[in-house]
Order: sequence, then structure tokens, then C-alpha cells
Amino acid sequence: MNITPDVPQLDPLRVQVRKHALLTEIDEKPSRRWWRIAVPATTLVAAAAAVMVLWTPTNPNASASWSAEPRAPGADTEAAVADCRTMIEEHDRREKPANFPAAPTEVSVVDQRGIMTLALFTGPQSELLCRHVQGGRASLTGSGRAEGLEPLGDELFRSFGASTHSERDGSDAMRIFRGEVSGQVGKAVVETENGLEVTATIGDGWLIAWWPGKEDAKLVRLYDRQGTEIGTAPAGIR
Amino acid sequence: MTDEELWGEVRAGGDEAFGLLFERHAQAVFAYCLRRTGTWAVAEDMVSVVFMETWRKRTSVRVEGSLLPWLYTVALGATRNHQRARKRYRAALGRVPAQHADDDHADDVARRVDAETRTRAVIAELEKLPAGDREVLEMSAWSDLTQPQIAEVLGIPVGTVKSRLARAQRTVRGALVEEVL
Repeated sequence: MNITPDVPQLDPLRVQVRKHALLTEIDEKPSRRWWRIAVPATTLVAAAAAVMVLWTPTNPNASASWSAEPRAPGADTEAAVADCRTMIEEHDRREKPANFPAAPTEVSVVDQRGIMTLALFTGPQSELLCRHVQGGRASLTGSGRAEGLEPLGDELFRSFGASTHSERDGSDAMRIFRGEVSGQVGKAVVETENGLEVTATIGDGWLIAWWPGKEDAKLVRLYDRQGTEIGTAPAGIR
Repeated sequence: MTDEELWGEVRAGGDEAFGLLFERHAQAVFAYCLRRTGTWAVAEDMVSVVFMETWRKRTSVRVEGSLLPWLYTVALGATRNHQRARKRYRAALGRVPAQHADDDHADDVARRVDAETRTRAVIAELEKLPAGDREVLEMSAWSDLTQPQIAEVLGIPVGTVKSRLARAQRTVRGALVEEVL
């Protein structure tokens, strides 16, 4: 018996048929593969997006602990400000465009209500507002100008307006208001469009205040250190 | 054009070059698969399987000289799978009558039956060998591959190819006569 049994030649026509089928299959593969990859990938992305929305770490609800009057600094104040300072320093190490205002380093005012701490860092060219929530994370909002701030002069107050902040999913919306105040001002109360009266925190010529919701500030009542009202000012930016 | 040149085009997505390689090597792959399986139709299908798998892995396969060593590698794997499946269902298949009369052309049918009968007789003898020895012997007898190429296809050292081949020859000598051994 021969270990290599004769094998007849394949019919050339059948070879061509097989070849044609093979090449057709090859041509069809990319589109099939596209679906095989695209459909699971789309599903995966959708699932990932859902997980992101559901599982993105959010701050504890600061509005729930809000008060119209700021609380006195507590044991957590120093740690919150330190976190903010670290964040600013990290931010400042990133590459910036030419003439970008230098990052502020001085803490002018710290406002604490419930579990949220607002620390306003100021410098000759810029301000950075740090929002720090106990058990959560810190975030920064800033403004600046290369030429520096115009002196307040005889004015009692200069508004920088209110900005809206919220968690990434849109929850826990709040307005944060800030402005410059004269040294004569010992107390300021912000009236909002929905009737809240929010006592601001003043320090080093600056004031800050915040309240839950998206309603804007309407006006600011200003008092001297004895508590006498010395004027009101529109809350909007002039 | 050499296999290597055609393969360069295949890697770049050239299906025409792949078609040429198919025409060039389909018979060799078919013969190997037929001798391994003993069934014409299965062997024909396996030719397609081998080339499909080769296309699928075209970006990772390197061809030096001939594409045949790679084709034999894939064919070996495909026929191994077939044999495993066949063994699994051997009892059931044994009760099913062989179907040879599925073609209208008597000459062609006779040609196929002859080929299948011859290869099955050889397969029956070779099945007495240990699988490793058998694969070396088959590759040596049924392909034009050198011993180093066989070693590469089977993933074993050349020395092992030599020792297994010698042992297989001793075992089957008498039952099988092969001039290429």
C-alpha cells in the first residue's frame, strides 16, 4: 500500500467557483465586522455613559445645609483652605498663554455655610473662588486681567455679579455672588429675586455670598460696622 | 510573482493576489486534507477554511519564500479539529450509510470514490501510530516541506521531527511502502 495515495486534480472549474466564493466572502467581511464591532461598542458606550451619570462622584448636597447667615470658622476651615491652595498651585503649574494673569495666593475671605466653604483668593491681577464641600471635592472659578483691578475709589461697592454652579448632573444648583467693598462697609445683605436675604461674608475689601437655586441677586444692602445702613447698590455688574 | 511578492500585496488588502495564491496552492492543501480526512467533500471545504483563516490572519503572518508552510499549519489544525469531531460522532456516523452517489457524472463519482477508498485505507493504517508520529510522517510524505519547515509547522524541534519520523517508519514498514520515506 502506498502511503501517498494518488489524489486527483481538483476540477479547475470547481477551483474557480471556490475562489470566487472565497473572494466574495472576503469582500463582505469588512461590513460584517463593522457591525460586529460597532453594535457592541455602541452598547458599551451607552452603558458607560449611563454608569458615568449614575456613578460619577458628586458632592454631598451643600444646599441642604445652607443658612442665610454664614457660620463661624470651624475645625474644618483650615483644611478646606489648604485643599483649595493645593488645587490652585496644581492649576498654576499647567502651561498658560503669554500674559496670563498670575495666580492669586492670598486668601481674602472665607465664607462657610453648612458643609460648604467658599474661599476667595485674590491677587493684583486675578481672583480665584474655590468651592469646597465636606466629603466631596473642590472646584475653582476665576477671573483676571493683566492690567490689574481699577481702584474702588469713593465707591462703597463694586459688583462682580452672581454665577451659577451645580454638580455635573445639574443637581444642587446655586448662585455665588461676589464683589469689592469699601473699608467702611462692615456688613452686607444680598437680596435675591426670589426674596431671600443672604448675609454676605466680608474680608479684606471683598464680599462673597451664596444661596441655593438659580435666582439672581437683585440688590445689596450695605451697613457700617455699627450696623447702620449706609447704602444700597444694584447687584448687577456695571 | 513569488509567494512572498503576492503576500506583500495581500497584506496591503489585495484580494486579487490572494486569489492567485489560492489557485496556486489549493490543490496541495486539498490533497493534504483529503489524505488526512479521507473525505473528498470535507477536504474541499477545508481548503476554503484554510484560506479564510489565512486571510483573517494576513496582517500577522510572515511569508518567507513559500506560503505553503503556513497553509499546512492551518490545514493541520483544521483537520485535527475535524478528527476530534469525527471521533466524537463516530458511533453515530457508523450507522449512517456512506453517501457517494451524489453526483450525476459517473466517471467523476468513480474517481472520487477511488480516491476516498485509497486514502481511507492509508488513514486506517496511520491511525495505529501515536498522533505526534503520525503527523510528522504525513507531513513528510504529503508535502514538499523540509524537515526544518515541518518542525516549524508542527511547533517542535527538528530533532524531534527526525526521531518521530524514524519511529513512524519502523512502525508502518511492511504495511505501507512509500518511496519518499
